[in-house]
Amino acid sequence: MNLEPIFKTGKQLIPYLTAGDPDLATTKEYLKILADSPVKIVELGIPFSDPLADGPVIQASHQRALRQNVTLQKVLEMVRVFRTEVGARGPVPLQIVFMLDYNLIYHYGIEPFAKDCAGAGVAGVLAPNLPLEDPDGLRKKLENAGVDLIRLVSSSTPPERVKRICENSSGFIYVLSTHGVTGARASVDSSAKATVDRIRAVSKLPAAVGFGISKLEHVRDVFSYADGAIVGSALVKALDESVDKAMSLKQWTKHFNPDYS
Amino acid sequence: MSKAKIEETFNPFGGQYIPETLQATIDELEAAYAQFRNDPDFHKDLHYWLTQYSGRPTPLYEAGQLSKKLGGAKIYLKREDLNHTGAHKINNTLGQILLARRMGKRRIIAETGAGQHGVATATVCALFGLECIVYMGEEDTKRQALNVFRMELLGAQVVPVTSGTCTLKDATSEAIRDWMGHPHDTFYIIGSVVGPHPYPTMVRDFQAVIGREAKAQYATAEKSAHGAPSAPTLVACVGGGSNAIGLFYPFLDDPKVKMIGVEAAGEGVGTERHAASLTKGKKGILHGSFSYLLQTPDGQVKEAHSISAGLDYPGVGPEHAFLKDNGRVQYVSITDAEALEAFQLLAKTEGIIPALESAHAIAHVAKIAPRMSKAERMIVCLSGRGDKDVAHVQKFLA
Repeated sequence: MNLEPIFKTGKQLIPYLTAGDPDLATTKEYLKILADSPVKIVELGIPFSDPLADGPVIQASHQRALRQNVTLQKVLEMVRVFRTEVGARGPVPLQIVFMLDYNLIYHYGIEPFAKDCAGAGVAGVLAPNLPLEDPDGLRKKLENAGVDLIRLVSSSTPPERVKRICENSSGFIYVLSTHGVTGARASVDSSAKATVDRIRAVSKLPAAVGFGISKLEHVRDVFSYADGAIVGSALVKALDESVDKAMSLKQWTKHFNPDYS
Repeated sequence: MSKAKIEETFNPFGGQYIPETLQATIDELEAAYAQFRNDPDFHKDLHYWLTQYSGRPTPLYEAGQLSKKLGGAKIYLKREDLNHTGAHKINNTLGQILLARRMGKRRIIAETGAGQHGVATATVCALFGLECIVYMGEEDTKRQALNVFRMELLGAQVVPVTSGTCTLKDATSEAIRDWMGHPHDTFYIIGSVVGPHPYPTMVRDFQAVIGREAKAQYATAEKSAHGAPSAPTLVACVGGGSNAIGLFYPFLDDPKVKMIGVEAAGEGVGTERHAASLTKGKKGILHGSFSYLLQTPDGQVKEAHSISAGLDYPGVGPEHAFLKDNGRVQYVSITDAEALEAFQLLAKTEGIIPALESAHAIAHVAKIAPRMSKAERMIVCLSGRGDKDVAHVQKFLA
């Protein structure tokens, strides 16, 4: 509802940031930089004590954020303030997708979570460990609140399950480029293209590829067959190691997007 | 690949709260277990190794001195400490490795806290000549250096885990991450009735040999001319809960049998330092299943604490959550101090040094047996022997 039309405007480079790494004020600055850049969608990871699908780089970023006592509630409030501040100048040109462990949603409460996401202006939600059966009815609650539910498809997902996943998602499909956890890899697994093709066969939803995308050439490669590319660990690591983080992110948005470099 | 499924019997607890990367791997495991679960050849094989290698059946020992000392109910001990490697853990690792062999998996991974499950896994990997990688929190590798050496002696590679709190929950997360990265050649031998479906069901099935034996042994021991023996009260410690569910499960359909699960209260359930997930936790999701969980007000998983490393886990098996909510099993908790008392009590009265985990069960028995009549009966799961804990306990008693 929120996110699907954005892909009609072009291929999307989607950065991932861990909310609260190194602190929430900096994350809000990052969002403002992205809002002034060609980036239209950002994935915001909510820190969790046990991020099961993440490799060492993003795990460490979650730990840094948790040391700042960052909570889902505080991130929601930060997003609300960001959208108010940026929205004063007209429509906010950046959509935010939350990526978070399902325990955080369950603990917050399904109904309040959907309501507060909508209230803060969160466009979509991705919970990697939410079962397809959706035992607590998250999708319906998000749909009623006007928030997309994005789901994962991997290279090992059989065709009939791909169909069911697409039918129970909105916004876009997050294609896992490879098995394993998040983190930079030398190249993007060729199975990602086949996975995108399997999605195309059953759904009109845009497909964005993530996991292991760390270089501009990876993004170019993914853009040749998919609607978007998600860059996480490589960006999180670059920002963590950078002295002038704001400048690093600005440069990243200029140089990393093949459409604008 | 067959699409065989295994029914989950403890909804809404359990489930498969896993990333899509793991789904096909879990489906493959479920289909394989569905195929072999009722296969006579599989069970013949398992029975062979349980009897010839691990020494089953373990005795149901009438603890006469302990019963006399406590002055109430007659107490039986199910001697899982007499298994090879000194605990019930091997019932499960033998079952899972036989499944891994049938699935053609050559690389075995496991998580371990104190190292007991790691040792039991390294043991069966040595036996069957399979590669073995054990994930263990860095903190635990320091605290349990001797078990690290035991695993290495058995040919396993021990990988220290430096993420999160560097303990069992992080070792479990790391094992799952490894599995996601090696979906084709790797089998994950999980150590308790936790994790995504079908693990809680499968591990329970492999541990249910404890209760099946105990049931038959109890009937024989209590056979009298005056009719059926009285229904026993079962007591077992609960960390993840595998020895407890193993004892309880075959008795569940007999409503006269009372069951008590004993959690670790650490320094007290009123403090922040305990491992009593069922007593003090809230419903939540960890390591792929929905159960009770120790968590902060913001839904972050808390670190558990217990003097006994085997009970030191912030979650608990989903079937225990189910049995708590439907009232079939009563769950209580025992502090570090009470467990230490019971550790010495059993050593002095029966000449048996229990594992600190099992000492929690003994401690609860010591509390309630004196109030029971001499006609009443208890079966306590003595899940492991205490040799591993002797040095640790010495520090507390010095």
